[in-house]
Amino acid sequence: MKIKIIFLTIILSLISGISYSNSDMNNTELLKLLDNLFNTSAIPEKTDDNEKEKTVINKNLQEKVTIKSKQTFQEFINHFNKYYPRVFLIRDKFFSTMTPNDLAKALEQIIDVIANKPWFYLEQLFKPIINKLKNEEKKEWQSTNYNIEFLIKKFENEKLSKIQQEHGFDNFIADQLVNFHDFLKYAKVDINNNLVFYDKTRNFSNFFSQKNNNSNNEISLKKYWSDTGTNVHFDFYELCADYWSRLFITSISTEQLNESYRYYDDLKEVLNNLRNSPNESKVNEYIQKYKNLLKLLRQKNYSNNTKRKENKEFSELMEYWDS
Amino acid sequence: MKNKTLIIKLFLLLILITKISLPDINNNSEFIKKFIKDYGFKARDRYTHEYNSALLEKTAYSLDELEKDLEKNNLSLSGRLIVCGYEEQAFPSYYFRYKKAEINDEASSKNDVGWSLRLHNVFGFLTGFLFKDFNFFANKWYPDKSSVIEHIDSDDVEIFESKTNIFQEDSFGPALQSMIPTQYKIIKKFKEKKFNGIFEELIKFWNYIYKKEIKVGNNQPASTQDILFSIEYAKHLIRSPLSFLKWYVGPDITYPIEVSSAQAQEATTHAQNFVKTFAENLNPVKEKPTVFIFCSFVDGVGKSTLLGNIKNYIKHGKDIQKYERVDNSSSQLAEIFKLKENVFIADLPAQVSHFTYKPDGHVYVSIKRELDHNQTKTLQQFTIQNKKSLKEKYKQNLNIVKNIIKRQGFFAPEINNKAEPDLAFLKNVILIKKENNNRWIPFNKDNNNYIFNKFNPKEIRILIPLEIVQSEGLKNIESEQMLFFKGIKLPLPYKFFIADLVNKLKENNIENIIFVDFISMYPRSSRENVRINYLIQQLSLLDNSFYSDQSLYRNFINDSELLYILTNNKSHTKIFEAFKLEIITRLSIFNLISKRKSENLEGITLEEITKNIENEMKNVSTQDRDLLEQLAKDKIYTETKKLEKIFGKTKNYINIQKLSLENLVFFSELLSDLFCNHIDNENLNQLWQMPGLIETNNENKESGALNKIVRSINNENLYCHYIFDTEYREEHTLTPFLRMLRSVWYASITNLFFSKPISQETLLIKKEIYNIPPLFLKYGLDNKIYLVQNIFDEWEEKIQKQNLNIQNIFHLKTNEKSDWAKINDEPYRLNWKTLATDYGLFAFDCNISSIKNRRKTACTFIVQKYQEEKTQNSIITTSKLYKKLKSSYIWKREQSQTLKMAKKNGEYNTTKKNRNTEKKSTGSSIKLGTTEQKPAIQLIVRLLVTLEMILKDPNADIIIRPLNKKDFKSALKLFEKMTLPKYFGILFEENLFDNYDQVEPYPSWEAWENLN
Repeated sequence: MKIKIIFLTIILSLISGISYSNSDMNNTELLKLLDNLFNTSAIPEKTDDNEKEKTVINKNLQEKVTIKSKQTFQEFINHFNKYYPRVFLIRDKFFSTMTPNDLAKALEQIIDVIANKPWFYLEQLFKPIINKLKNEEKKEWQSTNYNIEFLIKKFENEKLSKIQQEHGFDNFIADQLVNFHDFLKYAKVDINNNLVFYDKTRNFSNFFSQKNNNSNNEISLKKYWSDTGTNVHFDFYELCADYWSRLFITSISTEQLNESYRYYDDLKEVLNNLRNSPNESKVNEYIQKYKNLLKLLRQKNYSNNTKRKENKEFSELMEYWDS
Repeated sequence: MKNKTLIIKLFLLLILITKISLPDINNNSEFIKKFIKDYGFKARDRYTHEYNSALLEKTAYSLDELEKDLEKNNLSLSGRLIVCGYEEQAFPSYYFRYKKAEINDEASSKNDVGWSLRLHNVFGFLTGFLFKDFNFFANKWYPDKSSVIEHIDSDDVEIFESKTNIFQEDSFGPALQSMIPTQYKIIKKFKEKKFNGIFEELIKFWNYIYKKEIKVGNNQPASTQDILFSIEYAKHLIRSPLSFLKWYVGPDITYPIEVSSAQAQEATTHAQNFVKTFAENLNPVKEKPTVFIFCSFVDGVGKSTLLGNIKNYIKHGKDIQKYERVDNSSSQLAEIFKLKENVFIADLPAQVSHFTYKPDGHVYVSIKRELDHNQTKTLQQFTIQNKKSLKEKYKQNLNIVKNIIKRQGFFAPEINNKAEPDLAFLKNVILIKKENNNRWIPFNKDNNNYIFNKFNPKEIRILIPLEIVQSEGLKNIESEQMLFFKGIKLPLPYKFFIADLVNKLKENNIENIIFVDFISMYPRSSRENVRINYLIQQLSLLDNSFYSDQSLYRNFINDSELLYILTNNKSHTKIFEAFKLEIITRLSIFNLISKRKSENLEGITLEEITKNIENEMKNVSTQDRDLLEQLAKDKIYTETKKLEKIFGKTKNYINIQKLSLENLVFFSELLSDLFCNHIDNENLNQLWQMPGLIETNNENKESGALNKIVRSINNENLYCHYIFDTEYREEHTLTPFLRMLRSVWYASITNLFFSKPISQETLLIKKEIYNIPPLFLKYGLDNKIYLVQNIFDEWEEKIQKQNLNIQNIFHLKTNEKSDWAKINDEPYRLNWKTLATDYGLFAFDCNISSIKNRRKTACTFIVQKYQEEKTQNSIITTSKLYKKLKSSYIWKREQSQTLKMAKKNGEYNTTKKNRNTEKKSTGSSIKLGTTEQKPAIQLIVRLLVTLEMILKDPNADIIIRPLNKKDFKSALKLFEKMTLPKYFGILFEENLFDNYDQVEPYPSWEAWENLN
């Protein structure tokens, strides 16, 4: 059994590897590999010079990809509902073998959980919650066979979010979201087989070469979604903005200028991904708001520093101005 | 003596005759004076122009009359309840909440300039803030819940929380200082139960922030003209002898409660909590028939909405999902509703509506407000699938409508027919001159009329009558989307209204009256927006040259844009003409209403009212027209000066609003000419060949990043980074574009550093310092501006470290393989995405954002100090900065140290190593420049200072005002003394130029002056 898994993994990585590095890959080769992978009967080799046959190949290919993608999606749901997978596992094991539509559904699940039921993503969240339980309550909880619903009822969402913030879990989720963002940034769709692949070696937005940029074989995943009316990436970036605004506001409240700058830059990048979304005008307002807050903090910081007049040269100059 | 007496008598007679024969002139001139005096000019005043003292005084005293008339009719006045709501979203949470349910119905539209401002009610929120601690004190002083004042859900407003000082400071800005003492005073009055005293304090506060034009954060005015009716209403309440039974304050407490795809149940939590509290406290006085008279000064304060909410609450209780749409139709007569045994509610029309007009008809509103999720999805699929054919049909219909207008004018029945709303919409598009920037395509499906956004076919709006539409529909700012099929309703004479009210009360045997006064301070954007949309159409019908985009009803993106429009020669005259037209139109409508004697409640058609207005206009004397002209001129002058004082030296105004993209295209051509025709270097000559005009593709692209291949009319394939309308002014979208352009042009010009003159007009460059493929700004055939770059092969090999220095020097982003192109077997930097160009090399060595723990330069220190004295958004001109620096001890010391170092290092040797201008923070590499280097350095300085004059970083703190010779001259010196030594490692012992007054920008002052 283990051997089978290893074999499958190798094949999978081989497919992914090929599609990552060469999007113009010969369809026939890929088809063969897929056939091996799905253990279907061999399909006779086709030559590229016949358009009709090529269409048939593509059709077969896409059907197989669709079937595989559905399987992967189901595996993802099973895994996600049972365990606490982290972003790298999700990305490498599931995302790169799905069609854009299935991937959108998977991402929707992740967003929904992080936004509305973070305890299903964040295992550690229970530790401080359990610590807050009284002995009797602990017993009661044990008697319910450690039912999560029991804990949720005990601690309303608002309190959970406070616990989440106090224990630095906001930072943890933000880190996870960064890596999902990284995936979305570089993910592309191979038009030939409708499979998503992740290629960090080339960045679409920075990519200037005509021959590659206008390639008919691949398209950025986000663009694919936009063109087909899927808005899951906008939901994702709204969620990111939610988490970064928490971190940013905390850093402003505690007057941590360096931190504030860092989060502001991140926030700007996140919010820029919401351009052309229904929230575009709101995004402009928030960027301006955060910019003003940062300036205010910087000015406060500056005033505090100059009030001390530690620098003799500047205090001399200030005296000159005061006169 | 006799003669003298006779002359005096004659003179008095003359005055008497003049007075008797010209009564209307006096009335007209009074209106003109009052209207212009009170007219709010800022973008946020858009909906407040109805509230001028000519109308307000009349309205306020009519409220006093109402009480007296009811008493005269033997009805017992038992007291009053106050409902004072404010808009929570005026200062929304600082948290960007994921899918948070909130009230979000204020309109903002995207046009060629950017996203228009959302017009919130700021002073209402500030008033709410004054009451923020009332519940705490109420519990302390009136623990038996006998407190008259109650603040609903005050704990839910984030910015009211303690430990939010920095956020309060940011939001409320200078207004915060005046709020603290007022807060203390009203709490004191509350303890003493002096409720009239609270109103007196509020009037003082409102007057103070209005008359002194106090600002909140981000330089926004704390108040708008509509504060005047709050003041008048409060005065009426003080004058009235009735006692206060209860006073409710709270955020959006009278917002319509309903659930839709666009509004989750949680969005109206405050209104849900309030209706419960309120409805349960409506009890009869002494168990006798009692009426609660819902009255207000103006529409849009939640009066009919609260009644609707109460009806829903009585019917459905907590089951919010079942709540029905609240009716917006406000009759001109009172409506009586029996709530329960002995309890009635009388819903009165807003008092001001007895003296002003009311347009009625239909409006397009988001389908998410009206349809369920499945219906929405189906329609979206329909528009996505059929967008092409619908666009085609749109074009055909537009031509049909144009022909009808040509033949029969705008009042042709076919294009004003309720049964053909698509044609009526297209008529409006043409009428208000939106043909070129209209984004909405009409279509019909299943007996409903819709429009969809051609840029986003999923955004669909449905046509709904104004009387039943959700508030988002009332707030639709796109005038052409309101179709006034029901005409314009003019009010009944006031006495008819009173008689009708008394009759209705008697019919229900009512004995006691409790007034419920709605003094809520919400945005005026619902009912007033309907009036403004009508006004825009009416002004266009009266004068074909009226164009709302060149009037004070333009959808401004901020007040800096308003200032720019007012100071721009082209638009100034149009604004003036539009302002005059508005005044005379409003005067004519005012006179039409004053003369009205009819009891007819039906609306007058647009055609009829246009004729009536035109007739009234003819009656306005030349004298009054002259007065109007003079006062309007003075008003525009005064308001422009005020705006200049506030925004004239802010970053947004100078760096964004005054930006001219046309100037940048000219500069791009100049650079191309310089590198192609005046430089002896084959590679550069070839690279800088200007491409042809850009062919436009059929897709209507919006301003912003494009990142696509485009084709020029010479069949060249070019990579297009950005595309912009020449008028585009949205700061956040422009910023990366401006920064990219600044850094690439700075670097390109720096390539002249080692050039040598070989003739009068030619410089020799043996080898470039930085390998840069140029970026060109080109017009497209669609008259938009494109930032394009030639296309090259990708650089496949590893980039050497020395090539990567370019990233640090010009603050470039990332280092990716695809950032480099292969040209003549060398890597050329393709990607010029820049982090910032407002510090260091790009800002005369100023860096006020630096948080690194190192010594500041004198320049940084001076700019920081200056901004602390002014505001954080203030800019400092180069002339002011240079003047301050010259008198600064620190700067003098810095300068003498630099010179000392340069002398120690000796002369600059261009033949040896060090052919790189990379900065040396220690200054140890600064050398003395030679005479032979001067021509090239002079050209660099001229070019870069010219560049700074026409293209600024949006966040730039130090600026050269366009065409300002004083600033230009100072900038030359600053560049020579700060930028050259620090970033180019070169300092001249003598002045770089012989006579700075004669140095001109590149190519000349004349060229730039002619262009502007």
